[in-house]
Amino acid sequence: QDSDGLRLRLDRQLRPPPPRLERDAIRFLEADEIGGERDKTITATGNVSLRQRGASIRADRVDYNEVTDTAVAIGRVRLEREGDAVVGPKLMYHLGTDTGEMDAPLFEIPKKLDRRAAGRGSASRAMLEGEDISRLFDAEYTTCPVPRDDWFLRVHELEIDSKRNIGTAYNSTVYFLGVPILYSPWLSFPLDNARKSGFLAPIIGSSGQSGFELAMPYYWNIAENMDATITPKLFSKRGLQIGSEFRYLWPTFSGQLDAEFLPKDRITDSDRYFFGVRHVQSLPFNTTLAISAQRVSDDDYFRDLSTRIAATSQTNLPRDAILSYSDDIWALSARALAYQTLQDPLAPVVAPYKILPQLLASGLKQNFLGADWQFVGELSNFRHPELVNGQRFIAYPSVQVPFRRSYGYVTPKVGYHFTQYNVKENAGGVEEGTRGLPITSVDAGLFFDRPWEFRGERFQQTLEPRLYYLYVPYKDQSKLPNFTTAETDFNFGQMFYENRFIGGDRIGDANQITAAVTTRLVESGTGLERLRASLGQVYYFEPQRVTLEGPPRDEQRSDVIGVVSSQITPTITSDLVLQYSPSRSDAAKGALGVRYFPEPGRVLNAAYRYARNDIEQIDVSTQWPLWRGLTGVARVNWSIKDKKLLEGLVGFEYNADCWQLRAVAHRFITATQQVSTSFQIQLELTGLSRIGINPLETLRQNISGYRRSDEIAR
Amino acid sequence: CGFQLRGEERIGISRLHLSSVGASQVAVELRRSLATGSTQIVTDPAKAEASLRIITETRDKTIFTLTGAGRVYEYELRLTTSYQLTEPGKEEPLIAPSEIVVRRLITYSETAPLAKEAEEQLLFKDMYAESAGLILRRIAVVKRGL
Repeated sequence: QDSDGLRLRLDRQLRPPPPRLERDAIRFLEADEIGGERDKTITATGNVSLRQRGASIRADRVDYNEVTDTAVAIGRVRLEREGDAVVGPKLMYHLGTDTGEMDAPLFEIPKKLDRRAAGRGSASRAMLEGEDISRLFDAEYTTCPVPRDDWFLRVHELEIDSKRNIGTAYNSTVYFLGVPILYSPWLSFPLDNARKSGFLAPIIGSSGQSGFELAMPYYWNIAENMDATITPKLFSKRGLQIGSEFRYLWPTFSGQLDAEFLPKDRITDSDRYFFGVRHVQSLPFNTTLAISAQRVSDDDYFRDLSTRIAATSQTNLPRDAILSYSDDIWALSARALAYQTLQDPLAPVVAPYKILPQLLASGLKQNFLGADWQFVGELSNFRHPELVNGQRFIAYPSVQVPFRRSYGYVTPKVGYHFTQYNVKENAGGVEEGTRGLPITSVDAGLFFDRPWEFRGERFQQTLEPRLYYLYVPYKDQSKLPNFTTAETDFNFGQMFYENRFIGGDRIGDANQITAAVTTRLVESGTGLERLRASLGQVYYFEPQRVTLEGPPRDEQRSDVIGVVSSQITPTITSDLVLQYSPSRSDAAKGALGVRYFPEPGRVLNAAYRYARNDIEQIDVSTQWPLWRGLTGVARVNWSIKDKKLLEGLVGFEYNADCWQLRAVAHRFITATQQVSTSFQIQLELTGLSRIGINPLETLRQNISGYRRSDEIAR
Repeated sequence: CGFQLRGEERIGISRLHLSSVGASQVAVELRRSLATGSTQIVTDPAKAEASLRIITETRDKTIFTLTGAGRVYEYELRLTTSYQLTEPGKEEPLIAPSEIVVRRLITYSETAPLAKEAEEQLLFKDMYAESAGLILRRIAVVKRGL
């Protein structure tokens, strides 16, 4: 599953229905003293306990009238139904119908299932209705433990449905630290942790581009397999935006629809919108249809209206549909794809080609006549408003014969890559034609082991040398079109690829051998890998003449790549990648990352990244408990090369158990010479409002290893 | 220096039952990798010496490096696989549910997103194979008591 796939915020599992209670006639009465007339009234005094299945009454005195089946309990009365308890001086209760009345009750609703807090309160009067519904008048309700009343709901009428675990408040005011902060004529909240419709914690914020912001997300639990979040969001400088996210999940299809609409933006004087759809549909005969499309009203939409860098950093929004089929051997697909390219005004880019359509076929038959047979085929039609249009056909059959033993392997492979282009006559000098190239390679490796001891710990150390030889003859491809091709990143894995280009339009000429060695330290007994280090380099016997642009390259050796990832202690991990150019005696690329993660809620990440001419930056982020319930969060991503802050975040979360307060200030770059600065604050009253989307999403994306404060066990 | 060519059979299990919750590319790679060795994959868990289950397999893609213009320079691809190894009829698993995370970096190209998508697929294929290799090595160490 992709991370951007469908994921519901809360569980989507069906739970078994609560056991049905048979309140049959079996009743137990215990007391210090029981007296009265048989078949008429019974009077019990002193530590009275009257029980029937699912309900119990305790009191100092109970008068039970058998004719009316009514109990009147007096003095320290405690009624329990479905685990909920009501305490008061006097209770009238009809046992047969499970109804009754109590004056000046105190009530408590215990933690149910995985609910995060127990609820409690008081009222002037309680009506106990059948079906485990209690109706409380002039009540106060909170999830704070006694004696704290950090927040409470003052409500004219509160309905507690103990069976469906829903609380409904009519005419209620929320008080926070003694101050009324919200009035609502109707408010519904879950008594357990189930998905229930209701308002999520509101978010108050401000940003430089849009002024003051207020979002009031409403979560609508439409059905077990469908939900929606509707978010009205007010921007003081722009106007009111309505956003909605609708998700659905069926056995054969699932998807999500997103829409945002801001009519008549007062700054730009235009309607602004975003629309996104994702849909995956299983069809008969192992076929699947996947649709993904996004559209925004203008290039600046995300930069102006989003506080998420994942949105603002996007350049190409796809409109993509793929119909695919697969079985044990074949994978076939038909695809149409176009993009909306969002331009940075100061750094415009050439928009990519559309594919209308692309047909792909790939097949792999293993262990057939002692070999693995592979075929890749493609037929595509490329369209572009400014560049040359055309079609491309690719067929690439290949066969490899793997020889594997416990101590190593040798895999020779041969294939023939054939491509044909059709393009119209054009001024750009792009020609149609065919290209056929044999591709030959041999991959070989050995495995060595030895036991190794370090500071009393026993390890198994491996040594894995690997050689990869690749031969592809040269063919001039400079006049052929380039529809979709780029150079692959040069990294440890790429040294074993048969083409240094990806996308099909260029086949790199090669007469080269890659030499690499990997060593691992594996903990004895558990098999856990504690350290892995690899080193590799490519040796070129001939110059590399095929390029996307620029002259041929005639280095005899590639840069050296070293990769080390380790788990130094159970709480410290580190990753190092270094690409070193021996000819220039300097580093072409490098990254060092260290993470210290002693326990959930306590994490420190630090990284340094370098790429010659492009990147030099440090990135430090942390979530760290400061004092009692107070946790600090911070991130700095600083570009040393540009001498500016790429992304910075500082904030805190305060968890007082029955409420949480989050405040986050966030600043990041959205385009050349453009930054977004925002401030967000969110108050969550446990058990009343539910967890919202922002700023938690911002925190999750900024701080790797971040945990929500209430997820941390204390 | 004490290194010796790996001599023994690879994971020390002659009959393995392999299952996954939902479709799993790591399971496909495991099958592919075991196909050439001495371990036989059986369909009936009762007839197996041990049972390997892929519990979850999640792909993630997050922004790793930004350029000075606020564009994506690099993404981090992450494959998280959790698995467990049990023996039929035994309560205590040989390997309790464990997680392996494999990461790769990939630069982004605004002009050739489709090429980068294809490269991403190549990297994920690598990562599936690497995850399968890590699982098999762990089984070998645990099973053979190295």
